[in-house]
Amino acid sequence: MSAVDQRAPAIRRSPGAHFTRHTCLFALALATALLIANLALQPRFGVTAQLAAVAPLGIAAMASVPSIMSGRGGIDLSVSPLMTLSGLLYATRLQPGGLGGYVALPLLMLVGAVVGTVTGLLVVVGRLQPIVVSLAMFFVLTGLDLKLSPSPTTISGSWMAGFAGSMGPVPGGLVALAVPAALWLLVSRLTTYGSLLRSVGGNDVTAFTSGVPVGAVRVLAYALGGAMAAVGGLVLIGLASTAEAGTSGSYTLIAIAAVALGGLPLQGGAGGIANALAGAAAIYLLQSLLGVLQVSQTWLQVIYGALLVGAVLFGAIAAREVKKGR
Amino acid sequence: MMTTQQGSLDTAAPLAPDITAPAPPEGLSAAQRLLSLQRRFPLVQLLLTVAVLGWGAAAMPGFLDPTSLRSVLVLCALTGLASIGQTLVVLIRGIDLSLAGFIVAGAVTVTQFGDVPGVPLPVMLVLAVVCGGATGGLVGYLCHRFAIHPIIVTLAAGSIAVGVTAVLSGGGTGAGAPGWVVRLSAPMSSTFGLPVPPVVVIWGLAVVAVSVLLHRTRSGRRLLATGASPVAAELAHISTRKVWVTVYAVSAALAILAGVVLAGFAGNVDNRLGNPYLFQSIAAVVLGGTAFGGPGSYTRTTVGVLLLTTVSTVLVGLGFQEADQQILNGVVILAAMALYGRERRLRDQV
Repeated sequence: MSAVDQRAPAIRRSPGAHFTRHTCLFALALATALLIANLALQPRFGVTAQLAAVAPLGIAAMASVPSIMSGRGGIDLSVSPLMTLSGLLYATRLQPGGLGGYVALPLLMLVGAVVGTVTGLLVVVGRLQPIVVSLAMFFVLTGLDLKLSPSPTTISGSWMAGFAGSMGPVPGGLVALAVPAALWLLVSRLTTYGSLLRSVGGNDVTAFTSGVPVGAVRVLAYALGGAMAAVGGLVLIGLASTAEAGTSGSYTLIAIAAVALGGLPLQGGAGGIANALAGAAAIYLLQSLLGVLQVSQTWLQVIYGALLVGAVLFGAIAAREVKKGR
Repeated sequence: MMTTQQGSLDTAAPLAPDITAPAPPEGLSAAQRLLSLQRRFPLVQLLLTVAVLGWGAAAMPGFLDPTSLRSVLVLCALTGLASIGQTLVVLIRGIDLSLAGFIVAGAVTVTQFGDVPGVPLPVMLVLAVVCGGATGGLVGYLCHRFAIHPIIVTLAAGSIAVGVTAVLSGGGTGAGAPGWVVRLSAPMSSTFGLPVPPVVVIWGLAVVAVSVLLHRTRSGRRLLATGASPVAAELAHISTRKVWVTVYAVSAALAILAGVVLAGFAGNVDNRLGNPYLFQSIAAVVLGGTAFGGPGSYTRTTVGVLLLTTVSTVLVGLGFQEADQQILNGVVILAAMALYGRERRLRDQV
């Protein structure tokens, strides 16, 4: 063991190893380059507006992180309809019921956590494939969304409008991103949960034999994802001033794309919300840049697909190099 | 779903003495027999389909008319054709999210490239199938060679397929599908005198062909072996990489052909044409009882498709909203998974 440790600095120096250790570096570099290009081409590239526009995707991506980190094919496809559900609950139940103030945020996060717990319990206790369970949850939640509000509900004059502009001196988008990020950091850094989750995702059998409550750790991962997703629904209301069931499926695939582009290993056990944020930023800035260059929406699909394959290939090859080095 | 299974077991219980009486020591009880049959064939799903059909017939006069049955069959055939590739991919422990993209690519090819000067439509279609197959093959290669999760690569491939066809066609969606494509899936058309639309006959032939290919040929065995245990398959001198490349190539090519038929059925083609069929294909595979890596078969998927389509048709007929259907879809998938897809306990894997 010590021999490996002594050689570790030498490995770290190779660029491939660097990228493997910090899996979000590729997306960060990409996002930085795109940001510079955007700033050069768009004189009116306002930080506040851009942060607000990237927030829903960023939140959807962050909400996908804990379930993927929990390993064994963990993934939550129901993040996007859960976001919509949270927004619709606010519009059709909480606001008419007099709970339209800031108290709605913790309430809805609780609802999100409960829905996530149900998904997690189905995965853990039912011993079912996460992708199928969350696809089923996707259907159920999409149906609930449609039931809650068959037609879009307009909301005006709520505090959520701040998400699109600024809340005090702080850009609203930043606040929107900070809430789920803070929840994640509090739970994973202030407690041992972060390392437990990594150990379960890395090798659940080993974690189990070491006495880690694998099932509870997994269920909590889905619950955390649900609570984070619930914030996204409120941000969507803030941006559009309406809540509609039509957004149920909008963020499902693009959130996974953002997380993958951000370099989060889909086999679990590593990474964090930094990957999600870097990936979401890269995708958003790319869309924005192509919009400015008046590249048609059709090319966007091609470039976005190619970029995704490129990013995962890069990650896979970098990981291979490190393995060879050892 | 669970209650129905319970019910079917209960009704069969009185028969138990007759079956097991001759050889009590080694004989299985009727319940066990039914369970083992259920493991090999989706009996419950088939019974449920019949029950739902009966419910529909009782609630809606004219539901079992030839005309309405034909429409149901066409819907089944379309979902069934879209699920062939997904079944094969799930059998080798993969998943194919690029189906939606390739379906759109096939549909755009048949509606937009019908009047390219100098290139007749059949040549164009062959070209599309070859290009799609090559892209699919590349997906399989990348996933296997670099051990990347197929979710990402197929997601990207589907996006690229939609993008490339849209760029090539200039993004137009004006022209409709040619007459012969529309006739393929028109409920009132007939096939060589048979009173069913051609797409249903094609689907029937596909069920037979895929089943024979999977269970009676060497390639099919290789595929099933790869899904059951990649390591053991490699040791048995099966090139699992070749299997992955072939399966993904076939899946993409079939999705393009499914897109061609769908273009005739749907009338207008847009970028979201494939999405419902993507989710339905996964649902049908799971509902039929095919597990990731097997065991499974296309006949199971066929039963899944029949159940899924009859349930949604009956619900629409009874005036249920889309919301109820979506919720029921989810519940039905979970129930089917609870019957089949359970994994081993963690404490048994140590």
